[in-house]
Amino acid sequence: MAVTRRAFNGGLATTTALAGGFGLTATPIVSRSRIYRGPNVIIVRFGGGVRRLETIDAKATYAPFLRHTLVKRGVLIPNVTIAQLDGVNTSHAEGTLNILTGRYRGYRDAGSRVGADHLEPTEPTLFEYFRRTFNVPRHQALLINGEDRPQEEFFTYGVHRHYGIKYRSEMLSLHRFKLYKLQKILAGPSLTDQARIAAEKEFKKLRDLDYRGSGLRQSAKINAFWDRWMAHYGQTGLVNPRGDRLLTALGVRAVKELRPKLMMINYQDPDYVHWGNASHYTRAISVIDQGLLQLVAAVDADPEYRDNTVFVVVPDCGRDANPLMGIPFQHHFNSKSAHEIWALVFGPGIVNGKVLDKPVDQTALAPTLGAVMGFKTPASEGDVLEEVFV
Amino acid sequence: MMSRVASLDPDKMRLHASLLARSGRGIGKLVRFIAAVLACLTPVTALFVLGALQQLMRRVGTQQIEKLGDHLIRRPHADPTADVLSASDRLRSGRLKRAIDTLRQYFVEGCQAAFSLAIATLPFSLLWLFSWWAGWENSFNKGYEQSWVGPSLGLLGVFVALNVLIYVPMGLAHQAMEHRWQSFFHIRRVVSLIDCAGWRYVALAGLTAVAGLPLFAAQGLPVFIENIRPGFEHFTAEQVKEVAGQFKLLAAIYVVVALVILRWLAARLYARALGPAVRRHAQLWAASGYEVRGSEPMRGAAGRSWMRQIGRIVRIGLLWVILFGLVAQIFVAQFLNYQWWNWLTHPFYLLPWVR
Repeated sequence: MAVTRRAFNGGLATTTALAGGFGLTATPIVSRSRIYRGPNVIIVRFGGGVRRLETIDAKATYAPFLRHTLVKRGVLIPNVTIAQLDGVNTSHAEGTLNILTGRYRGYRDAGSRVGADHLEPTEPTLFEYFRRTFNVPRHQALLINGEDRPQEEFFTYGVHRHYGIKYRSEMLSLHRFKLYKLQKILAGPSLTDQARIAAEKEFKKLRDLDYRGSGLRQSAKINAFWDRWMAHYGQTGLVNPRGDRLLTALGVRAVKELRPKLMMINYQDPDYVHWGNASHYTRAISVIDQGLLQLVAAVDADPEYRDNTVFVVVPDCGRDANPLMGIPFQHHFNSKSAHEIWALVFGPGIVNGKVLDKPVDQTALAPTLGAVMGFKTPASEGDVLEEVFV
Repeated sequence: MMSRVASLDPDKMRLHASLLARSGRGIGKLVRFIAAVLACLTPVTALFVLGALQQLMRRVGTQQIEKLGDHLIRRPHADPTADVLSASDRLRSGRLKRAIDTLRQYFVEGCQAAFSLAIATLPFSLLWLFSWWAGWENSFNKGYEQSWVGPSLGLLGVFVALNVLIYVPMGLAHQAMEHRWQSFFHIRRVVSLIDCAGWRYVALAGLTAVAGLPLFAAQGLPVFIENIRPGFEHFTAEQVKEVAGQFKLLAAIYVVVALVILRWLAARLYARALGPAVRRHAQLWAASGYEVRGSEPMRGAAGRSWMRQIGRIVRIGLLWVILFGLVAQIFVAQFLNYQWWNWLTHPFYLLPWVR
């Protein structure tokens, strides 16, 4: 009987958990003193939930830069799927954690509320693997999140006993910026009582969104980043870009100022199609495509990043293709199309202009990226995609 | 042959004739039902159904008023005699002409009902449509400065809807009985009827909200079609069309049955409330030509008016809560399976149109 990697890992996880309970787990020997000399990796989550048709279909795409330009620079994997397993939900947080951990159901519910899932990884994320293996400061392992999804603030680290907070990534998001801004305002001397009360109220509201309080302990480099951001865009929030354009702005700025080795950008706005305006979906895809154009241009213009950066573009989940519906773009109901995604990998060491025409699992991306960066992802279920490498 | 006919028992012949007439009526009803179901499938033909329902209400209401014998007199000039005259004319004309004339009347009355209902419901349904559209448009474009606009308009729409939806069944019954579209807007008279209908009207609202659930399901179920019909994702366009057709047909059958029951009940409630309303508000109802025969005393002593007032307030509160259930169904269904026109029309308060 053939044992799949998923089944094997499932058993392994159970064994490890049991052994860990008795203090028997053998922690892999790693040398954090290792200096990272591999390529930079930028993961672009083409979220929240897109179908193949409007993205990688050459005739119907709303992402022309992705489809007509970037595809020629790397390997397009058109048949990536999210496995049909019990408890696997085709949604944004889940899909993102599948990508980050290389494992299905590698998370736990840490107190979800209606309309705001609250998942935290129980398996190590790529950031944790990376920072545990290499001596990389946390501001160079970056997660960039949208302003409307504070629930994704929890992806910077998981609760795995051998990884976790020590190896966390930093987060760039408006939520973090506002926390920084309010901390600074509250520490300032010239605040009226009324202004202080208002600032404290807003600060508490933001702080309560993240029970782990990670946003209050941003590194000096990140604080300096926000200082420069504030000097440029001011404090009001009315000047800086918004929506997914904000993520692009943060990503481009981060490349210039923080020099990340591993960065994930979580685009999200195609998800607005839930509420009935199909144009929000297609428009948001175009906005992400323009974001990709700017990111790639920023990387290509930087001597340290040019020819030394691997991009992976992958959706968190697909969307329905239900002809019975007026707006056939939901993704929560376990439809076949919601499980169908794709991926594009390009950069140094990756084959140019290839279409990898075989079924690939979403969990294969984490071990493949581990292979790109030089670390193993033992908890992942997927296999390394050897075919993408030169 | 002659001898065979002559040998038949006259009682048996009458029985046969009665059975034939009954089965003829049954077949006629079935044909009308099938026609109504099919007519629900397009917005224009749905007007015929709406008109037929108005006529049903008038028939039921009139029968019920006669049956109750509520000491009411209606002055002849206010009677819908035009309808009676045209009915007698129809009896004298041929079958085809009669059918065409009936359809014409259904259509005209359907248009009138749709017009009244549209005037009544568009203030909230347009608020919903634009609040939804503008709210999400604003949200997509991150216009946080105007984020209050969408939800506020939506909530205002809900408030307007709760009050209008209380009014609609009785307003429609009044329009049917008066046979004039303007009658829908005899607000004080309709309110007096609602008041006199008492707790039965609350029950009708409850039934309406419960009856809305299958329609809510019909809108939401297609979302789960791959779970309901395994292999749906591989269906051809023809097969998909077939499934969609089945969905629509079932929904249309349900809509016709539900509307006949709801409108039938509304007409009976109208008839029941009319007498007390005319007694309590004689001057108001004089405009409709109604007056009380003799000097029958008004039921309910004046000393208990405070109890009536409390009962009225409780009923209105309950009606709000119950009808909020119907409104919630509309919103949740839109979250599941959005169709912009579902803000504007619902089989229970505008067109009996199933899409």
